Amino acid sequence: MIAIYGLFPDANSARRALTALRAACSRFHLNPKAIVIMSSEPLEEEGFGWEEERTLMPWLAPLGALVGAGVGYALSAFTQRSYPLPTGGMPIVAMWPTGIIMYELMMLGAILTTIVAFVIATGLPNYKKRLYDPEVTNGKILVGVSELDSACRAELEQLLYQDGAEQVKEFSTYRKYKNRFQVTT
Amino acid sequence: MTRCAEAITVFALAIGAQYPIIHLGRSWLFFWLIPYPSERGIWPNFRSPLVWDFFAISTYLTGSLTFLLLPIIPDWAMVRDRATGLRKRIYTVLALGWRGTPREWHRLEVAMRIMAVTILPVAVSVHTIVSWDFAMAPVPMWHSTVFGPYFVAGAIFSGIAALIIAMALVRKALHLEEYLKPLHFDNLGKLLLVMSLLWIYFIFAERLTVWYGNQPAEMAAFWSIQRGKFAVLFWTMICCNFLIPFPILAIKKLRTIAGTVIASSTIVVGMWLERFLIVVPPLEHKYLPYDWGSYRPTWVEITITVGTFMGMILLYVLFAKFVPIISIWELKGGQHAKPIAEQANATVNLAAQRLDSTLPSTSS
Repeated sequence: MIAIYGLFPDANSARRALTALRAACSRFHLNPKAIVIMSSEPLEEEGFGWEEERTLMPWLAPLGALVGAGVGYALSAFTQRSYPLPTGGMPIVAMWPTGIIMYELMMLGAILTTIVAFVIATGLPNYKKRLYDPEVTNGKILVGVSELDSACRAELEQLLYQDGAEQVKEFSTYRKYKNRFQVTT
Repeated sequence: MTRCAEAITVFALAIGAQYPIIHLGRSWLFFWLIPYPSERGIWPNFRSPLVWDFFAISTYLTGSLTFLLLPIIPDWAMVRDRATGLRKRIYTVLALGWRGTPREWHRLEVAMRIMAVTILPVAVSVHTIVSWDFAMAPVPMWHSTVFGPYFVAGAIFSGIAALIIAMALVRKALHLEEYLKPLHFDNLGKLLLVMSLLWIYFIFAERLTVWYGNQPAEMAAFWSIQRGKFAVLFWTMICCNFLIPFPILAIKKLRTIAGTVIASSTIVVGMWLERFLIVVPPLEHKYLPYDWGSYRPTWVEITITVGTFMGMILLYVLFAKFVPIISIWELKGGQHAKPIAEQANATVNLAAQRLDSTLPSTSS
């Protein structure tokens, strides 16, 4: 994979570059999904990432909670029936303590589902070599294209500079490009 | 501040969860606490509050750990990009390959929102269930319906006090004066004041009910606390939890960083005494008088208690050493909040100006 990206000092210039890149998709035969943004803080309020807002996570958590509650009931009811204690005519499966176990496992179900959903949705952990620049954690906003057609490299570089990029860099996962371009690892 | 508080929760829980194992005597049989059928075919009794404890503490520990670790991932990525050598390798593993894409930020914020909603009811339930360890037992002064909310209030009360002390120490040691401001301590002080009032209300309600009931076994425990051999501890507790902190926290001039730390320090001592007084005097005065006795801690128990405090301090210091104790990315977001508000104001003013300019033309 070869990518080109610009490092922008603020959200306004990054937004301009993003708009320009999106507008230039058809001209450069770019896949809009190949446009990459990275920042050291959430920029949803600045108008970035609105297309990422659709997620099933808030629905999966209650589903996990329901499964957890079911497991809680199954575990405690199965246990109480497997080793019935003398209850003096009271029910073997007592609902009050079973309710407490169900509640705790319901919450545990919601928590574990959230963790799993987060891991799947973000694709973390991922230790492969991917497009990234440590300057992002210094406050710079990275806007770039990850699947680059080398024919339009110069024009894209110019476009990024025009919109206020402080630096434009290239990134490649191929070894042969290491000497040809400025490679950031 | 959230991270300071969550770290206290996680370490206190981790240490607290060791106590059932310490108290087993034969700690190598700790797995008997886990609800599974043993080789003798005996299943755990789900009617026992100790089994509820297992589930409540496991859930709370999992939730608190998640709530603590999720927002640390971007900060670890930040440390990864600045570290070198072995540290870089370690933080690279911990950062999980975080890059800060809009998708990652959005999913993190959604997960944090879900966790924030989930963790509060779990916190209430875990403290209530710990109180039920006592309240379900037929022991004088334990068998009370007020114990659930009383323990929840006590946990919040002592938790805020511990947080204020931790924040003050971290502020001083790591020079975080710009981030942990007097305003934070002032606001936490107000919260502590409310909890102090709530705590004294619970103490009064609980004791009044016992006194009014006038049952012999309960009154024996009651008077041993009020004016017997535990009276010194009881009145020290009242001073530490109410009489000293109340004026400090109620008077605005005294609600400084030093003032809130002094009030919190007395509260931590007072709350420890409260737990001691909940456990020991009633057990000395159970319903059957032949069961009465007296308690004196052995050197083993004193050592375990001291070890617990030292363990907590050690874990917190290590945490502050290796993890950004203040959430850097959340702080950045907070700093940007003002310009955004200013930007919004500017937009509103501009819109108003345009509206003003169009109004005369439409009227004419």
